[in-house]
Amino acid sequence: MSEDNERELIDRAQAGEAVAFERLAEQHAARLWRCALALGKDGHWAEDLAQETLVEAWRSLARFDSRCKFSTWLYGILRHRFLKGRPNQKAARHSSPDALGQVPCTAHTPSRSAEASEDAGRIRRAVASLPEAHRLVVELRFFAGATLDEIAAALGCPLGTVKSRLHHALEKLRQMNLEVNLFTSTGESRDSKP
Amino acid sequence: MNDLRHNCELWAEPISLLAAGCLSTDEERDVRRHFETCPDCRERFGQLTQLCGALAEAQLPVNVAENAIVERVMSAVASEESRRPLDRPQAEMIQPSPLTRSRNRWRWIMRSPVSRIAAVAIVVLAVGVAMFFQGGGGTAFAFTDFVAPILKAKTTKCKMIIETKGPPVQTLTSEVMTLDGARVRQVTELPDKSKVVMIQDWSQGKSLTLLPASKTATVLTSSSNRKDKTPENGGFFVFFRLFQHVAEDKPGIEHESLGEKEIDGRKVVGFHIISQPHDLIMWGDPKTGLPVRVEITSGIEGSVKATLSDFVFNVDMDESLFSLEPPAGYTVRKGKTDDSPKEEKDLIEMFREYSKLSDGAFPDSLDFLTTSTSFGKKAGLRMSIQKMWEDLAPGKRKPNEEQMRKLEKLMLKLAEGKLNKEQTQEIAEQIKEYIETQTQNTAEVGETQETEGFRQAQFNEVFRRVQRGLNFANKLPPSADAHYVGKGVSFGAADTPIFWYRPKDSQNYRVIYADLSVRDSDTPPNVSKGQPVSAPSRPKE
Ligand SMILES: [Zn+2]
Repeated sequence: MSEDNERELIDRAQAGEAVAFERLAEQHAARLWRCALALGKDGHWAEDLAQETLVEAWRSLARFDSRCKFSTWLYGILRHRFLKGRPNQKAARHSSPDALGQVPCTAHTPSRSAEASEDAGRIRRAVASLPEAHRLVVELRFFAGATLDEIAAALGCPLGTVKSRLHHALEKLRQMNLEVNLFTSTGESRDSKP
Repeated sequence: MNDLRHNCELWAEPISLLAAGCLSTDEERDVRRHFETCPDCRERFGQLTQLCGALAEAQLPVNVAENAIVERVMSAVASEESRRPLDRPQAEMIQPSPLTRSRNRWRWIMRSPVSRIAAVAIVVLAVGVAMFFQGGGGTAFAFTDFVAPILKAKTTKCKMIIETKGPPVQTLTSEVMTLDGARVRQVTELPDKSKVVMIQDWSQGKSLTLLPASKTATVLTSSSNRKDKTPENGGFFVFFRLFQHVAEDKPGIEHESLGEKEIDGRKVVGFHIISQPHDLIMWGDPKTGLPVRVEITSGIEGSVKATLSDFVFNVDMDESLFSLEPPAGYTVRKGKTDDSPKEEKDLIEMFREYSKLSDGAFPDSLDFLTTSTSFGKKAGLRMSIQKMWEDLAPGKRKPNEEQMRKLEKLMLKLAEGKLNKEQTQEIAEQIKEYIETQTQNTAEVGETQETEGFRQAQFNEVFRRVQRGLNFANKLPPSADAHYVGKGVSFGAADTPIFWYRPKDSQNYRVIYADLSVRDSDTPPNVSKGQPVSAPSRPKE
């Protein structure tokens, strides 16, 4: 969706047009869910969080004034809701490192080869082994597709912090890669391989 | 070699971010430029790109039940709407939202430090440049034709833009008027749109500086017995001096013709004059013999650049514009400029003040402009930070060194001027939050708020000491065999020399060490690659 398009939808939604808001919700629901998943790890809980976030967004829509991107604003709300519900979620958040793999998969992408998903599993485990702060930025960036601004909003920390965490997390993963050769089997499929 | 490695550390984070697809095109271009010269970083980038590709592919192979989510959202929306009164609840409108607060913070932070930094820059440039050029060398040739009108005109008007290299980058625009080649009125606009008016009289060695926004006036009188009495805060007079040297046609100047080009549809001819460490480019109209644009670059790697343009000569000007009487209603401060001879102890004081602000490090060089400008910026930043700290945490303990450093880093990012509005706001938030979290649980210790005037005076005093020290070193004659080796050295080691010179009529060297002790020695220290300090192209007065 183009920015103008989104701007127009926001204007209409702010004027009270629920249909316009529905379009916005469609655009952002999936990414919010992925973000929630990174934060909380439980699929159903993540759905609830994404849903609450959007409902809250509708309620506070008048306050959105385009000083940041709409998505960044949503991530900020998500964080707020997340913190509110946090105590109950402690158990879920400290579940096993492989929790991401146990998320209920409503629809497996069938084209994935077994080998590729094995690699993906290994990579996810490597990510899960990172310290919490590093794991979150990596998951939000690569698994939830969030931008740096959105990550900052979701985690409630400064942009500079997100940058340095992402950098350090990648550096850690890169060094793991060098040691255990984590990616050799998938390397061929990527054009950037020298 | 060290520089290169240091450089790569700076690039490490941007490279990671580039691999993660998080850099703007501009930022990406800078990183790629670094790759051209750095195979190590290129290789790291290759690995990271591969890693990031793998990460993106490792995204969970699930389809979010987004339709279900949206459906539930919309049913909640619908049921709320049915219960909602026509107008949104009052409380929701009144509650300050996080966004409104952000905006205020942003405004607040833009207002306070940036304008302060600019004011500091004026001091740096106005004072620093003048003192540097005093005792400067000469030059000349055909371009004297273009200098003469500036020197001889009854009145001159022009625009002056001064840019200093970052961080922080600064650009200040002044409107300059001169009368009888001895009086100048210079009006400079600060980034916050407030103005500084500086009026000087060369023949009397007097200057008047006005800050209309705060209605303060500063009158400075030179105690010098020198004939020309250049006010020490020389401002535009600096260029008069420089042009005079050029017009006097002294030897030792490199020059070349730059041929013809067009400026604003006018055919002009140009000259490039190098009189180390100054670089002048002058474009003039061959038909009228009048200057059109003058660019003066000074300091190491051109740290300061002044561009003069829009010249108008011999128009009528009201003499009252040049009055040295402070206007009614202004608070007046008076002072004498400092013309006493500079001594070795001034240089030691300079080293002390500089290293205090730089984590112990001594300056990279003793180049007057570069070093005094960088010191001025650092000291100015600190002044701004102290002010913010006191505004946000009145009565609380002042920032310690570590807190100061952290805030300096953030402020520098702001001051670099490369950020967009959102990023600026982001940093502003960080600064405010940092101060708030650092002070929220500390007790009030009853520290008193310092007045702006006090702070500025304190700054001026330190800055004056630094300039005196630099002046001392720069005015040493070649026979003093002065050398500076403090680059990369930090305060402390009693056996690491940083500077030496031979005082006039002395056989012995004076050697200053990194602990700022001084010892006499028959021979210069055995250190390779010392920077000679006195500039041979600048003959002594
Ligand atoms: Zn490099």
